[in-house]
Amino acid sequence: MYRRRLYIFLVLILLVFMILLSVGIGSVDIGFKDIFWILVGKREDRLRDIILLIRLPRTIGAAICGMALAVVGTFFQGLLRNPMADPYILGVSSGSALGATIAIVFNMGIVFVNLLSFVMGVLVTFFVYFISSLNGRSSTYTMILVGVAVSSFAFSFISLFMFIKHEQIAQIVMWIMGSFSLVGWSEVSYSAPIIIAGSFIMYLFSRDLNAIITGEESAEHLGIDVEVVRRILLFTGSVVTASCVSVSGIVGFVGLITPHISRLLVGPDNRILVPFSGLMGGSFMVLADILSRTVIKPAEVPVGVITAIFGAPFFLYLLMRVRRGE
Amino acid sequence: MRAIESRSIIMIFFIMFYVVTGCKSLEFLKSKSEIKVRDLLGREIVLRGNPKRIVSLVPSVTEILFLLGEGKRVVGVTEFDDYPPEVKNIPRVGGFKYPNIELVVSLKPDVVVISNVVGKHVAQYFERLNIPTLVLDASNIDEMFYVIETLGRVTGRKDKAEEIIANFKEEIDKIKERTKNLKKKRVLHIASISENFVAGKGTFIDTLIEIAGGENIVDRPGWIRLNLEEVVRRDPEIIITSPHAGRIEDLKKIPAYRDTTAIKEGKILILPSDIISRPTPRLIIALREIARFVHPEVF
Amino acid sequence: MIVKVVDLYFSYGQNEVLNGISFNMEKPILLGVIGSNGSGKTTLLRNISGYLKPNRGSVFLFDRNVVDIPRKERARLIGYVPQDIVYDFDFTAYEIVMMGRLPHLGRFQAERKIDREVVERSMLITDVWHLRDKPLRKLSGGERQRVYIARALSQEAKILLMDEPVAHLDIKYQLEILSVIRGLVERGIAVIIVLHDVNLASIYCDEIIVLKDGTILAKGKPEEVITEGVIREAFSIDVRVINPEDGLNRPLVIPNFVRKT
Repeated sequence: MYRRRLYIFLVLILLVFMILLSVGIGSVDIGFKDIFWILVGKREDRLRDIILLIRLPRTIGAAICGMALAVVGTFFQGLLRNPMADPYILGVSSGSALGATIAIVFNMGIVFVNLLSFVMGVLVTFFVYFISSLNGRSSTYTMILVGVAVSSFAFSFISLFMFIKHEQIAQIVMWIMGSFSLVGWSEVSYSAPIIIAGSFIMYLFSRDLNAIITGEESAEHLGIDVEVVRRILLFTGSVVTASCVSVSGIVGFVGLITPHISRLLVGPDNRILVPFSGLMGGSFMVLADILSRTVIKPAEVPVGVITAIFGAPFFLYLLMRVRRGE
Repeated sequence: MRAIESRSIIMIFFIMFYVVTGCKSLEFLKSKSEIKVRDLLGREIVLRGNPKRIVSLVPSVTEILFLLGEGKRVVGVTEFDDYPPEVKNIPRVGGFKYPNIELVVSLKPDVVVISNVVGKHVAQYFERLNIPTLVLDASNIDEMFYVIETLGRVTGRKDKAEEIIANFKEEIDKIKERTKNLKKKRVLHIASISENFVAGKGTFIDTLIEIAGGENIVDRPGWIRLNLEEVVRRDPEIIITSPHAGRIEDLKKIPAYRDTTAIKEGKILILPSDIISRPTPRLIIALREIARFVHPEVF
Repeated sequence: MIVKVVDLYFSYGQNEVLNGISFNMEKPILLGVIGSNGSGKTTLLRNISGYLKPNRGSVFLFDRNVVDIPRKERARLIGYVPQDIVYDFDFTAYEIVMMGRLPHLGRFQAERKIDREVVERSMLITDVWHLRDKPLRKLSGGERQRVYIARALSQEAKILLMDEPVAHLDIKYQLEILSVIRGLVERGIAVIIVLHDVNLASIYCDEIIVLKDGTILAKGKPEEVITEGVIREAFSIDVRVINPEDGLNRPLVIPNFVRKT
């Protein structure tokens, strides 16, 4: 029990360290001491702009997105009783990508790219949920399959757009592969409240989720309205994911792997697992963002590529481990 | 007592009056030196005076700035900038398609020029940081004139800009004059051999071909992937391409091309892609080469 | 009246599973439900617990209509031990049993001293307290079953419903669990248990209901219900019923074969 508290404390320190590191590294490396003075407001040189206007919002954006994806991943894996579930499983990513593609292709500007990707992400989730509950209770199996089908459909449209308007392929691909390079304070200011509020709402249902994991029928008999809890968690989770994706594009593996690692460290009780996962996810994401900026300086590798390169092999490793354990 | 008091009050009033009008006139002066620019996406941008530090993410814009004699204002360029040679010494901030935001901002530019490929939202990002951004990548000759004129206005070199434009137009007219009654030859420009990517109507090369007395066999606008059947049907007499596009041997191996007049007569003109695809006055060099090749009898 | 089922009808879509079931339970007893597969045993249990709503008829628990009782309150009245125990997670036995306290806790309420006491007591009764920190995965089938019974107990429910709690267990665990359940009945908890094994039902239950095609074929004490005729009708097989003469008065069913002497 105390070990768990220790782990949470440690991962919090990790996150803070990552944030400081991220703020310090970039085209110009800035030491911790300088960071401190700038944050406190005592330096006025060009470094100040870089830190306050570019790196800080970018880093905070990355931390919050990482946290969001990890939290939603934890909930979805428990809710859908599927260890391979991730926040995008209901098609949020494809909907958001389609929204962003449309906004980019018609040159609508930042605000619409973010707005359209958010709205479409949420709409697709509703659609998937609606379709899979047409025949009575929505089984999780059906939801996953419908999510896959809808995703393919959305992506086919994206390919079509890319083909028709090939001057903008680079932008679309860049968006889809995920990047925090254009995250400024306005992106953070509209996405952070949604993400934090959403995560908090979901957290309120941690105990219910614990029970649901031991069996939906059992959970009903313990007094939990499983259908209502499911709807709330799926809806809120998708809204949180959509607002994340609208800011950063599609960044995979963080939402998939972080819950597994966290579970190994602090156990399955969602009341502890969820916050731990969140902090861990935030740290991972910030680290990935640092790597994306440094591996081929001064050019940037999209963050989604970094998470995939490190995430996929690690995921295979986890899979082997799980299978061996069976 | 009272006299001193009243005099001080009057003095204070006068001082305040001067101060206020002084400020107002400073403001007036400042606003006088605001420059309003409309970029190629139709966005109205306001610059605070002549920009002293320009980051140019469009190689053609860099070239034009140097041509105007204002190369010294350029403080950041892309990896692809290579002309004129002085550009070598300017710091690189990334590629044409994706700049390194931090590097750009750390150069403290007064204005950033980007291409449409990079996109409106990057422009908006910079503007949120109070850095005005102009989208100035021309896709045809008229837009190129607009860019030259705009850059001239912005750097206080309106006259030089007009001169450059006038010279260019004069060259064009001279060549047009000599080709106007000649029989048009069918010309095709290939940008990429492996994908059969060609220049269609409205591109720079298309305009140059027309001026040089040729006829672009491609009817559709923009850069397109041409159907090989079209190639056979229209049978180009002259093919223009560049080293970038691929190997000529590969082109000759493609059946659709093998039987074209251009290949059979060996009428293939290879030009460096810089001078045929960059919207700068160096297009004239390309134009002259093309004219000479298309109508050797006149040039 | 602890349980009163009145004219219960239930269909899954077009499939009519329960066709007019009525019975009462006045005192806390161990009531066994037997019948062939598809006779409606699990469905009956689910209708009694309120998980399913009857198409016609009603179920009354302590004289209240089940469908009118709010979900959480129902969970304080009825504990349900399901047929398929899920255990592919890392929760410890203690954590599982503590979940049984959910019906007594508000959303923002943390576990209190009373909750911990109830959990401990429940786990002691079913003799799993010494296993409390072990992940469920690492327990034997019998131990897992006892943990789930402990969970139902910690709900402090007055009625327990169990769906084939000993179906896949070794005989040692079967007898162990059934005697635990008998102990619960002695403490005043009414238990309705679906059993596969007719003999176990006969030995342990106070009364038995025999279901066939969604109706009650027979109801009563084991010696009244376990007869060759009833078994033949319920299970479509001829058997012999023997009565061991050691005063138990619990008939046993054995296969009907002619012994060649």
